[in-house]
Order: sequence, then C-alpha cells, then structure tokens
Amino acid sequence: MRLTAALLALLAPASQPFEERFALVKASPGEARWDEIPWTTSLWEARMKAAAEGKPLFVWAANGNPLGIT
Amino acid sequence: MKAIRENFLPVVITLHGAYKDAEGDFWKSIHGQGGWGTGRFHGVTAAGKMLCGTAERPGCGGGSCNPQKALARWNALPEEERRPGAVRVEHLAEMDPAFPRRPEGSLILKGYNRPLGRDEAGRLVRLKEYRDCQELSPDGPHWKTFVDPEPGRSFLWFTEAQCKAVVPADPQAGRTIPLAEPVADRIVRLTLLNTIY
Repeated sequence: MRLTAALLALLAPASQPFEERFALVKASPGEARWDEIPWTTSLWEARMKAAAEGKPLFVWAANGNPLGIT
Repeated sequence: MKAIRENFLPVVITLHGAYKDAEGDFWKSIHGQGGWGTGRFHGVTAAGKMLCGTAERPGCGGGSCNPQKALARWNALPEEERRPGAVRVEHLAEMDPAFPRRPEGSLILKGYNRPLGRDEAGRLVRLKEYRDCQELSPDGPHWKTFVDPEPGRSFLWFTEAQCKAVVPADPQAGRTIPLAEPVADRIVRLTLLNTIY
C-alpha cells in the first residue's frame, strides 16, 4: 500500500520516480528473511496442526507479538 | 529458514499474554519450563515438551533453540510420540473473551521505514551505515552503527469506516482525495517510528 507516497514526494526531487523511491524503503529480496517463514499467530491452531501432522512447533516469543514489535 | 519451514509448525506468541483458556494453560506449561525471554525461540512438541533439554536449556546455549538441534531431538523421540495423531488436540471449546480480536471489516496495513541519505544530485539513496541510539539516551551506551540496515516495520489498523474514508466507493487512477485528519495524522506521525535494525 503506498502510504508513504506523500512523504516521499516531499523529500526527494520530483525527477526521482515514485516507484524508485518506494523501492528504496521497502524490504528487498533477501532482507527480513524471518518474514519468509509462514508464522501462525495462534498457538492453539499451530498445536492442532502439529499434532495432526506429526511435527514439532517452533515457538517464537517476545514482549509483544514478534511480528509486530518495533 | 528451510529447516523451520519444512519440519516445524512455526508460531509466534506474546510472552505475557496468557489467557484464561486451554491455550493459555498450554502456554503456561511451556513457559514454566524456563528459557523464555523476549526474542527467544524454541522447539516444542504438541504435547508441550521443549526440545532443548533441561530448564537450563544447555541445548540452546542459554539462548534460543538451534532448529537443527531441536529437530534432532524431535527425531530421537519414540515414534509413538511423533506420529501424526499421537497427540489429540481438539478445537478450542471456549476462548478467553479478553483475547483481542480483529474488528469485523478492519484493514491492517504494513508499513516500512528505512534511513535514507542523499547523493550529490539530491536523490534519495540507501545508507551503507546508519548510526542510531534506538530512541534511548543519546548520551548512553546504546549508540550503535547498523551496517546495511534493514527496514523496520509498523502496522496501521483501520476500522471499516476509516477504510471507506480512505478508499472512495468509485476509485479512479490518478484521483486524489483528502484524508480525514485522524487518519492522516496516524499515517504521517504515528507510522514514522524508528524500528530499524
């Protein structure tokens, strides 16, 4: 979602295309690789699926949701 | 990453968000085995057994699980503990009403923030190095140089009404619309948090 459009328009020469400026900010391939993992946000749903499929859980905890902490 | 994707059910949880339901009880039983702190991750069986040894977590070196070691410990468990269906987990009959739920019709937008510099022509460019104190005391010991800093993320939650205010009923390419001040304020001021790492 191009929420930063107005901000980038104010910060850079008009000759620098928005697409280029947007790409500068957004995560590039290879960055934030932890985000490539299909994290479930429900421990119980993950537990049900793990039990049904015969797999272990990989639990990542934080003060706040790890997917959203700043 | 591949080992986690292929061999585990990856799940995130808030450390201190145990609720009064079966899920909360399950989390308490795991948390009570020790080794948890913000940012830590561990392998755990569906039965609630941690896959990294004793409460001191020697298998983790005192930190988080090595996924490969956790997987090895999982594979070393008896087959009757690992086979699909060995542990029966039913749907949650009752969920703690205090558990926050996403409002109906809401929209969650993911935003990124990254430090940028300018080249000689004034064009925005990525920084190779970025020095910051992560919003802590500028005089304190927390200043750090981030090399090839990755973008931080932030999330904006919009109610259904706010969504409709942002996207008109008849959107057209190139059209501009004024944003309601509360929405614009949240986008401009409350999204620009320093979450770079």
